[in-house]
Amino acid sequence: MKPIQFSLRQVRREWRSGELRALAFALAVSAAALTAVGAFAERVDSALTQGANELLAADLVIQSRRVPEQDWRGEAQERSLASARTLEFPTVSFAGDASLLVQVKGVSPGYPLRGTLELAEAPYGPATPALGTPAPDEAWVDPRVIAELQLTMGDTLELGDRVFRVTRTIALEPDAGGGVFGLAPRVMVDYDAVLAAGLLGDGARVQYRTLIAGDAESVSSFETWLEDRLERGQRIATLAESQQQIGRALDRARQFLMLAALTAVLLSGIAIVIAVRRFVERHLDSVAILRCLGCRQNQVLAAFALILLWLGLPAVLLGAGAGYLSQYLLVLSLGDLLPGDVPQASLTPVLTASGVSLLTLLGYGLPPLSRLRRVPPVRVLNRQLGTLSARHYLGDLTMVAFSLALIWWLSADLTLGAVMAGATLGAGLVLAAGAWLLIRGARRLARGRTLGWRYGVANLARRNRGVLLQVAGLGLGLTAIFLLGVVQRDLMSGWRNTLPDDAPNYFLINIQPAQVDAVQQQLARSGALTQGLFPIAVARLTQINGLEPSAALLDSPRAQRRIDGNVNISWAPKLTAGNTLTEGQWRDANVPGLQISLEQEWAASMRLGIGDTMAFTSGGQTVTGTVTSLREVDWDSFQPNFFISFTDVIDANLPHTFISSLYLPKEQFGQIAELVRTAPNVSVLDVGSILERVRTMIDRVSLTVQVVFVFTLLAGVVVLLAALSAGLSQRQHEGAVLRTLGGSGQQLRAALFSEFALIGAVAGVLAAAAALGAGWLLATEVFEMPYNPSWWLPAVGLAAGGLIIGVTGLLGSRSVLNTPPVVTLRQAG
Amino acid sequence: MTTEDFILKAKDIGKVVHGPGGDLTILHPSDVSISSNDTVAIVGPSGSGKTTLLGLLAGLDLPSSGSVELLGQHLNALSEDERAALRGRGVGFVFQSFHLLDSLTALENVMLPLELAGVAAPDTASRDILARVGLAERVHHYPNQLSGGEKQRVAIARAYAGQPRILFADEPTGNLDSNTGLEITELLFELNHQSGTALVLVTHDERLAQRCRQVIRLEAGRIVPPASRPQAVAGQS
Repeated sequence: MKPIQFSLRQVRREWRSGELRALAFALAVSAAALTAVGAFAERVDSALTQGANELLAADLVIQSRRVPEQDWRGEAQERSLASARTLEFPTVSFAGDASLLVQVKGVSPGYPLRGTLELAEAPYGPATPALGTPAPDEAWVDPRVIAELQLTMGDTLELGDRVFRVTRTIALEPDAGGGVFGLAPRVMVDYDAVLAAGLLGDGARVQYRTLIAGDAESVSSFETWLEDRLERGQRIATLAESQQQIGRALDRARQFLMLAALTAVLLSGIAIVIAVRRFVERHLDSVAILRCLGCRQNQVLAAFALILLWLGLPAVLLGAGAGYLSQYLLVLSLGDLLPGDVPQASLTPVLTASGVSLLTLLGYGLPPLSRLRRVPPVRVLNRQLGTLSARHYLGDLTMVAFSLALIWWLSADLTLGAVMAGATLGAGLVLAAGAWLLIRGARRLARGRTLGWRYGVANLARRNRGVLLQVAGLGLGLTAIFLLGVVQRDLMSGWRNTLPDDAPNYFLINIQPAQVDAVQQQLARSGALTQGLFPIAVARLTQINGLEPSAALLDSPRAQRRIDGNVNISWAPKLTAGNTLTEGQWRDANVPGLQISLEQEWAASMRLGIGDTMAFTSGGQTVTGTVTSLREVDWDSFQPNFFISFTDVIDANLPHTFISSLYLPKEQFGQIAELVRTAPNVSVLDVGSILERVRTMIDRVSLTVQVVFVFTLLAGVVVLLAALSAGLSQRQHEGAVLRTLGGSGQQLRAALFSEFALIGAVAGVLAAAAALGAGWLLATEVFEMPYNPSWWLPAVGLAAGGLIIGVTGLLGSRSVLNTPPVVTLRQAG
Repeated sequence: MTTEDFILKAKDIGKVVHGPGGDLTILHPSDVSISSNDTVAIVGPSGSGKTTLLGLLAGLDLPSSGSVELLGQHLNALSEDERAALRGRGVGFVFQSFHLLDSLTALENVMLPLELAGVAAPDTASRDILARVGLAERVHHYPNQLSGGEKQRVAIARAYAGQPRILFADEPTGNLDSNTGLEITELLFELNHQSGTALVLVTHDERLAQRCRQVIRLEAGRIVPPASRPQAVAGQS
């Protein structure tokens, strides 16, 4: 026999006889889900990355406190990357007699490389995107500059030796959030013009930035190239560093999407196992005949594997095509919810999804299919002699190993992969144990009561391996569905709640010590929500353990670069909200002198730990302290947080100011204006708009994740249907026998419902428990966010599982009731 | 008769199965020899071990003890696949419940063993033999569109298609009414005569058994020696 010919001939008939349609459908759904998840995730991912990069105004930023010795733009240009430069520093600007501390930003043509700078003709007027950058004599300013210097549009202001004409007000600056602290109102001018203004003498606190943007691959290779060439004091600002919140949002988005994709693959695997098992059981007789007629074992396996493949290929391609189309429509329908330019999906997701689906077909299909090799030919004489051994550990082990490999490969994230693998294995074990208990207890449950119930429940005890598979299949399908519910309800809302509606929307900075009382009183009067005022001193780190930092950090150029220049330090008598000690004590009675608490990741990057001493110098004053604790900081809180905090008020006369964050509804901004009038040097930073963008992004991501989950849900439903139809022919035969013996339709229905409802209830309650467990694992190990489990879920799982599976099982077994017994029995004979 | 004339020689073959209640002997050690052109009936009451013996002789199963030499090959020394190849080359089967592949037409069912053996143009040969069993008009019908007798004709055509040297039939008329059974019996013997194939039948039908040159009578897993056979049968042989 030529397996290819045989299989090609068979596949038409298999399709016609409807036997493998279920398998093809499962495969198509899984391929569609994978493609849709892959392509949609790819597009959303790149759209979101782009959206987030808008907050950097670039894909990559090189920043330093000194004039860069080398201009990286030449190299960038050679690599077909776009580039621009900015510099930023605080200075006093004059307009007539009035003066104002402003934050000057010089920008070169091309700025911003990502995102949009929006301008208005008059303060708070309608905003339009900027076309280009300021002309050499132009200044675009924050509306506050207009108000405080009492200018009208077209007036001039002086910066150093140069005079600039105010032509526009800035409505939105993409990378304004880049440096939150010490921001005075913005004055944006031409890069070269400001260089010529003679303001950048020694001691000026200038931040130079080179912005780079281009396709992801070039940017990444440029970054690698750059790493070893950075000058002293230069560093690459990444998204995660400068926009912690956005960076974390993106990470979570990727993880959620990955979770959805993984779940879809595993579900399709389960569907394939169930379908192929049915296929195998239906073909035991045919294979016995083929063997009897002289067909070799490997010919049998090849022929039947090819049947699956011929059927799988078009199903996978159709599914992938449908998935690709549906993601396209999906993105279209999401419309403006996604950031402006949604890049087209590449063909990679289609190819990957098709490859993975076929691999899944083989990985999950071959182990059960390989049983066909071992069909003894003597089965043609006596079916009893030809039954296969019930257990085949090697096949089961192969599938477990394949699942783990798949999870590991697809997740590309060890923690997520480990959690998924653990959750799947755990859920599988719990379900198997539950099924075993059900089978053991079934005979006891079956006593008394009606005939239908007795017969249905007793069936569970008889069919043990079938029930085990059915509970496991249904349970894993339900676990996935419940898990999506858990993720949706508990995790997503947990994520959104990390940004409460009353998160601070204003920062007050540059509050002088003498103004503290006045500001506090004004804040109290305004009713603003605030954590209070925090001292902040800008100092140089001058010693680590008695050594110059450069000597102490000799072996870590990266750490050296980080402390080059100034650091912000603060102090507080007790641990502030949003901070958690992870090591040591806030105040250690055994340690003399001042004590310091460090943010743990910063400490790790600087290779500092408990017991190290640090000295800071500012304004001729030096303070020294010993590190006694490390802290974890909740960056989501949007409260002022510090890497370095002394644990007590510093007596030394270190020059410092205070900062505060507060929440005040936007319409009550008048209260803040009042405060600024009493303390004009205080700068107000509106972070509300940044928060607004973060919230929009979280909402957007949540929505896309939910949409992607719909496909996973579909895969779960296919698994449920596949599991339900397993064992149908046996039920049909038994039903026919019962009918022949005089059983009524009512009794048959009762028996079927009892059987399915019990299976569904057990699978449902265990699936809910497994989903809660997996949710907890995901929350704590992967997403690192608070988790409020819905404890009522198992109760819902029990009731819903019992009812839904009971009813669906009954509906799915209509043929048991509708087929005349004589037809069924004749077929079986 | 010399050893070379035997196409099947079984020596001391027995079958023991391991059950929950201990070992159960289905077939006690027995000897069977079949020569080319021979017709052999295996008869006996239900559960006497007829089908087991047939399975062992045909190499569908291996004996717990003893050895079978089929078409010059020792079955015990062959792997599962080698036994399959041997069946493909020289052994045909007809079953009580036909065992046609439901998804194949009559013609395709008959072509199957030829395709397995790699015969070129199996189509013509298969049509010929279907015509010989009287089914020239039904070649494109599926098994579920055929009557019991027609199904068995297809099965017989399939069995003879590969021109086997020995044909095993497990109660070939068991599922058929007596008239149809008679027709099928005639067909079997006719083909046996035309093609010179040895025929081994398991049957309950004494009339059918009586048409065979050799009758192996089983009782409770043992071959009953010819001496103790009923006179009528002994007289016939």
